[in-house]
Amino acid sequence: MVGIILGNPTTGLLLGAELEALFLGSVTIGTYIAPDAGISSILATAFAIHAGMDTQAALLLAVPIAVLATSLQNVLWAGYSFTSKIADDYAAKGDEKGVYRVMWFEGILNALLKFLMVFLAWIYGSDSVVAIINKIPAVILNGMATAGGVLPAIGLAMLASTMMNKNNVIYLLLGYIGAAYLKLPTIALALIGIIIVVVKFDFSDFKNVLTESSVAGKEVDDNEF
Amino acid sequence: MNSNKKEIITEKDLRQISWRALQGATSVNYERFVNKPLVWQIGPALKKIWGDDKEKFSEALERHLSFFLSTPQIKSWFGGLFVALEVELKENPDMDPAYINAVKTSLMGPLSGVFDSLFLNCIRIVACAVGISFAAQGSFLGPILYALIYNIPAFIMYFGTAKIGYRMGTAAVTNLQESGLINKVLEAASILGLIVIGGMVYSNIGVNLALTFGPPEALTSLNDVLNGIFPGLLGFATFFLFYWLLKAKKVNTLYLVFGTLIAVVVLVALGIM
Repeated sequence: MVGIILGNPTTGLLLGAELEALFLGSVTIGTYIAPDAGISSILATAFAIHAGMDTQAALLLAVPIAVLATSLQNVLWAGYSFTSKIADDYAAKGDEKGVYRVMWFEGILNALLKFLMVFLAWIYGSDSVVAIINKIPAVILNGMATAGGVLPAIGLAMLASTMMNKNNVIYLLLGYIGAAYLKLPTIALALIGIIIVVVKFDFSDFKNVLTESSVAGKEVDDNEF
Repeated sequence: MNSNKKEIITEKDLRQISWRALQGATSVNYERFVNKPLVWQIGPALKKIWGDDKEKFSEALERHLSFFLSTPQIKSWFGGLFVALEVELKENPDMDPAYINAVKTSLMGPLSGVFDSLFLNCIRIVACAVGISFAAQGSFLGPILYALIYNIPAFIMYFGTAKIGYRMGTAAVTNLQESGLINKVLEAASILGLIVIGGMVYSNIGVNLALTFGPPEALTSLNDVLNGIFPGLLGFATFFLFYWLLKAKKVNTLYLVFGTLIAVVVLVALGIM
């Protein structure tokens, strides 16, 4: 698309293919955040077409911006834990539109951040943008990235507090040990959980219920399940 | 009872849930991830279900602002399922609302595992491989094929699964309610949910120390020592610290988030973290 805008779609395509291959390895899975592929690709393509640079040189110019975009995003995502609290207050008042407003405010801020990074880097060159952003103390940027690892503990603790008690806390330990020592993926943990539940509870009357109600279900609402 | 249920949530509502699933990554936060987009997604349906009961509606909103993280492509299915559970909750005042979050927790991790692998590690790679081979020859088929190969399955998931989730939720809960097994299943779902949370406490929380000790030639990282005693010890301790603060001390989460951010920045500044 950058190629089309700058009037050189073929170079855009060739660069796109090279960059895509490069970024194929880095993808956001779960809570791990990869450098911002979108921003670096757009900038690298624009630099390459405009100044006739090769892909590698253009990418070298663009990557610092992409890394900065990711660390600024860390700041925002940590900050949005605060606005979650504002959303909680709206929810407590039964104001769902307030929750939506908080979400869209955050979304627009995200988009604005990316837009500004690309726009300023294009107008003033990526060096000067990096220089400006380097004025933000590294402590703040690193602190927010580090906080990104700590904050999920609050969310998970809130979630656990709705169902955990003295009798079942042992199952949380089981899941933890499975992940920490045995490196089990979540699916394996869930399957072990199912086995435990089947062993622990007597589901013999359960089978009757399922067969009975599936017949009943068909009669009532023609449900194919 | 069944016909009544059908009147509350219509095809149109489920379509809206599908459309709104597309805004699933509008805002993300490190504390509870995509909780707000989930409320955006099912909010209108919740309003329809609880509309006349402001207090219950608030509770429903708060319930769905809890921790949520899933593969974007299965959010429609989740939306349909949660709405079905909310309808059940309204019709059966005996049902424990905790059931809904127990179901959410035990399903989101495992299902996201399956669909993350399917979309990110399989369909995306295939789409990229095809797209790159065409784009490298300067052909416009490259980006077009990439977009089609990746997005057609994704959109089938977005627009085909809200109804399936809704029906599964309705069928499952109705059967369980009628049989009186619901409490047993609630207990089972909590066990499953806690096992999954236990796994997430290890894999989603990262609390690491930067401190080192010993002579320069045999510099030892304190973090490695702690992890040698018990992997992820600090993250584990942090989780229980927050749990205790929330449950026993009833600390407001605003203070927790604020305190955490300040403490982390200070610790980073001091070179401890």
